[in-house]
Amino acid sequence: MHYAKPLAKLVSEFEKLPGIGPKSAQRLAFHILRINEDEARELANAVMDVKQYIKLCPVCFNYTDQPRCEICSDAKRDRSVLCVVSEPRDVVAMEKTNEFRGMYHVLGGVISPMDGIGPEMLKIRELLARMTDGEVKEIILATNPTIEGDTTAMYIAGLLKPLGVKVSRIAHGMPVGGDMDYADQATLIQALQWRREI
Amino acid sequence: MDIQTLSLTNFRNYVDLNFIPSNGLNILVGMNAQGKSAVLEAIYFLATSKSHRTSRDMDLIHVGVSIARVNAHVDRSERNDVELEIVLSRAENKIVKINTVKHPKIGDIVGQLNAVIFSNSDIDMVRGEPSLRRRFLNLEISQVSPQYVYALGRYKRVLDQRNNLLREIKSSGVQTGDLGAWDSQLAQYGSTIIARRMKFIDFLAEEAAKIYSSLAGGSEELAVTYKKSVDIDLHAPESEIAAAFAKLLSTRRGLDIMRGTTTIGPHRDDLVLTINGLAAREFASQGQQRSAAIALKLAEINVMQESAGEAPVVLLDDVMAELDEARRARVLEITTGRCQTFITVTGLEEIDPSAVAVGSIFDVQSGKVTPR
Ligand SMILES: [Zn+2]
Repeated sequence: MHYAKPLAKLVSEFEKLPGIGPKSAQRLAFHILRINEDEARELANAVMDVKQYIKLCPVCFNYTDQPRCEICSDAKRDRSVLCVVSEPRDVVAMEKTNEFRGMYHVLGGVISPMDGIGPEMLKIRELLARMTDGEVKEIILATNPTIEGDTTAMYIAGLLKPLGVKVSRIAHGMPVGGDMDYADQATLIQALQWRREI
Repeated sequence: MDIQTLSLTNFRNYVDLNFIPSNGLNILVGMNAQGKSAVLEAIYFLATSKSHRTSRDMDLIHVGVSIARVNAHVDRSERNDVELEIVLSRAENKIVKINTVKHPKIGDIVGQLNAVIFSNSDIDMVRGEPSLRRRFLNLEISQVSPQYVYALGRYKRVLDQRNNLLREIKSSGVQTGDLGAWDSQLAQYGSTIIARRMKFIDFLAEEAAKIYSSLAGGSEELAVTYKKSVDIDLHAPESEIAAAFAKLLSTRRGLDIMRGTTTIGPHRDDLVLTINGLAAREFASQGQQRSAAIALKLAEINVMQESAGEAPVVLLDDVMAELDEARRARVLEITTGRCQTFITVTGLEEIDPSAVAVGSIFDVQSGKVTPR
């Protein structure tokens, strides 16, 4: 297909996005062409702002635009329970349930040798560092129930066991092989309630 | 269990087929390449989500079109009737529908319809590579155990990951801490597979031995055993199998790293067939091998009936011409009056007149099925 150069550039940028094929990329690019300049600038600014202001919280590694994320700075949250998830979007899913009042730790992925991801590339060292002051009494491993999520949970549980902290794994009711952010809220709440020690 | 209607759209050479079989013996008569086998293939495809003739789903889609559909209404006595459908597409992954509801996992359809297929390649199961016998075990146990389908899928994924990690450790020379977690995952799903296989083979062996001796006239004995990676008793609980498997993995860790692959586990196991104590794979005659293959398949009908509580659908794909009269009679004797059966033949002389008399005959010609 022959586009004018700037249009071709936009199409090819959209194509790089996850879940966007050539057809959708073309549709999005033509949509951008049709909107007015202000709207286009707002979109461009939003993209740039995200890059400029969103950083990882130095405590839990969730995304934040503050020096410390909202959850980590909330004095009312229960600092004795830590929920370990793989991605920031899992925090969003968990928070939507309004059931969990503890803290989070975002690993930034799961162990997957075929993708070249080993435990040292996840925020596991940082998780262990959070255990040193003895404030955390319980850890809930809430990685997705995929093979990789299970293995990651198992690996972390092995590291935490000697520390004498209570370790549990959410499991019950989760769709098998499913993703946490697809699970409906009732399922997640149930999964949280039925967590088991590992 | 029987198929009440079978509809094919753009499947193989069928552009649009609505086939209403009888619940007894269905004889499909036609020359080669007219579409007889495709009818059986479609039924087996609904039962297992796999073809017995090709591993490439694209082969199943009619030339020149992009989407094919297989649909059947299945009458079941032990469970509610069910409508099964698989949609194949050149552009996307296949879609599985059970009672018109789309299921995210293809494996969900396995076990809804039980079918046992006989084909000319069955003999390869006796004389061929261990992978063919593992494939037989996996396909057949999957049909009666959703838990097995699940464990098998998870096991394959863990195995892939573990093998990747072993290669990585081999090349870097650094042992990573997560190997132990992969080992226990492999042991967990592997033990489910081993336990289910042991039970299946135990039952299959008994049935197959009986059937074989009736085929061979009682002078020969067929023994079927499971050559498994873990030395464990048939009645051991899964946790015990998992512990034994995990121990084996840790003692062989050095070897696995050196080879860069997992050298032990159900993915390396085999089904061993012996006739009068000699390995059928190497020492049996072609006739003995053929009888052993048929005995296994016939035994499977009984095993499946026992597990599902009702008789499976039986598919005899171009096998009648290969069999002598005695074996042909035995096959029909076991299936007639019990299983809905589909036979493909090039001419009615290939089967006994008594079977022709009770069967419903259909002519198959260039993608059309016409009752005679
Ligand atoms: Zn934070």
